[in-house]
Amino acid sequence: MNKNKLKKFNYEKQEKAFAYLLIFPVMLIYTVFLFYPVLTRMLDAFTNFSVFNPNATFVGLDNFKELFFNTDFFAIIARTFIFVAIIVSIQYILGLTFALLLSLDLPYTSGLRNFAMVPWVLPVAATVLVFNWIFQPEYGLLNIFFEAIGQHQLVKYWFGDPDLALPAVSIIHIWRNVPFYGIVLYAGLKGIPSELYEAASIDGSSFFNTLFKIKLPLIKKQSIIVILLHIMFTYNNIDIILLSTGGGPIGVTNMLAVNTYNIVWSKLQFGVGTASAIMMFLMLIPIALISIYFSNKD
Amino acid sequence: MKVNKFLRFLQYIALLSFYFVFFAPVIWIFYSSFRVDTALFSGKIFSNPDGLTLLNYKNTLFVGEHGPFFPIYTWNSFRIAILVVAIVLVIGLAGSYVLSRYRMKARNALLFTMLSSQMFPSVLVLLSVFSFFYKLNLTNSIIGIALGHIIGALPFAIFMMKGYIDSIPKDLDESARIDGLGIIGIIRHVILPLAAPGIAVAAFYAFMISWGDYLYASVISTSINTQTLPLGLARYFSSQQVKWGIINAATVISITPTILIFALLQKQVVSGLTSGAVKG
Repeated sequence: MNKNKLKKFNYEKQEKAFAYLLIFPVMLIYTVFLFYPVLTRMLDAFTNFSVFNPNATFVGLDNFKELFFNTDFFAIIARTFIFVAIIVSIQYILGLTFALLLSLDLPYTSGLRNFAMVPWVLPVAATVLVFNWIFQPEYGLLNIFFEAIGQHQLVKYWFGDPDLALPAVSIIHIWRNVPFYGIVLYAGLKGIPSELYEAASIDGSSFFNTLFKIKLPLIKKQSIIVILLHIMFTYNNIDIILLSTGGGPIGVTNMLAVNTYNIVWSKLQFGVGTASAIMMFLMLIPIALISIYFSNKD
Repeated sequence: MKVNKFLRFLQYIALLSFYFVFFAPVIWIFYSSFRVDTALFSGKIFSNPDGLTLLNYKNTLFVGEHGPFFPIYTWNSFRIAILVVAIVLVIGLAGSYVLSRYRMKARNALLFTMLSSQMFPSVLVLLSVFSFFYKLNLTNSIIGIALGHIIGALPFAIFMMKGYIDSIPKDLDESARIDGLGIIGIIRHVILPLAAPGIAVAAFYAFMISWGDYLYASVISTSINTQTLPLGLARYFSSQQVKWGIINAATVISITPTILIFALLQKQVVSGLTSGAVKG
């Protein structure tokens, strides 16, 4: 009896040890190739380190001073926050509209639904090149189209025009991500029991009343998740801007992430770039805490 | 319930305009890739006096300064993606099985790792990993690029597979255990077949991350030996003379695998994504 118990105990212990072994590779990869590099490199913000100057010396807060007082860092922060707020709002409104249209389950259209995700799955570099071609000033689809319908005043130099570069970049962001909002919010809307709609329609509730009083509160969770995900995506995104405008013209599309990337890889100022990346990290903490709060809530 | 016909019509128009906006750029790039320069630069949308040809593809793959490079970009992208998908599936499946079946300290550690890894701004990760790899001599290596993609793809892949494994009854594990199977045996004979749709979505996601990545490759790769398709595309675009015919054909070649695999797995990918996003 006792012996049997001991045997079982040993067996369980052995299996548990093996379970540790199974998650070891994941832990190893993250510790060695993510946490260790990030945490040690953060110290570079206080040195004059660069890969070409491996014998770094301590320089205190010089890199932060350089960043704060000799670049337009605060203007870039303001621009980035406004950009993220506007993009995410437009995406949510369009995504919600798309989800509401999908939830009508119009006959003969259900076969298309999943393919709405195509913009989201495409390689970002390819997407940006597609839009570079569409926005191309002389032969791009957009300008050809405006010429063809006789609207010559709408023919513009999209990515090169300081007034239009930001809207043009935003269109790429919006085109890529609205399908994701739409599909996730649609799944949320489908989860609402149909009795609720019927009750509302019997009560003679208007479209907006049903939307704000019934639908939106019931897809609150999905809404918060897609919005948080895309605040982080838009805030962190580098490649869309880098491959379309590169941050120009005259800096109108120069957002925090692109600016940091260029400090490191164009100006080769590793210390200042690290300082900028740390500032980006600190500003992201509230968003990160909110998303942890929501993911622990379940 | 009877719906007003005019309202129905408007609903169709509205829904179809969304689809039109989503698909038009993709259709336009496919169409453009078959047009010759004279049509491409004619300022007309539908006129193709010289017909549609495969000339741009021929130029992309075989001719001129880009010719010899394009197959190499494609091959690099391909082998990195295969490596990433394989590693993500193997270590991700093991990790997600443990997450699903065991309650122990390591489980929390793993969850914490996954969550906190998402919090670093990508540019911070980029410059840290770059300096670290530079020291280790891992820059300009396939492994160096693949590691970046694996770190990016693992959290979602693990949550995806964990979701599917959670829905497999534990009794099946127990009866397999009574039949004498160990953990590896259970994963192979019980979990693998039943969680196959989730594993397929995880594989697609890992492929999408790796095949679509520009940023990691742009800082880690320094020579043609490791340059991937997105880097090639960016290079065509920034060259002195922008050859749109070649760029369009190259873009189409780079998006076709993604579209094909997505078309094959769309049901699983979409239901996996929506349930994943809802569960967090």
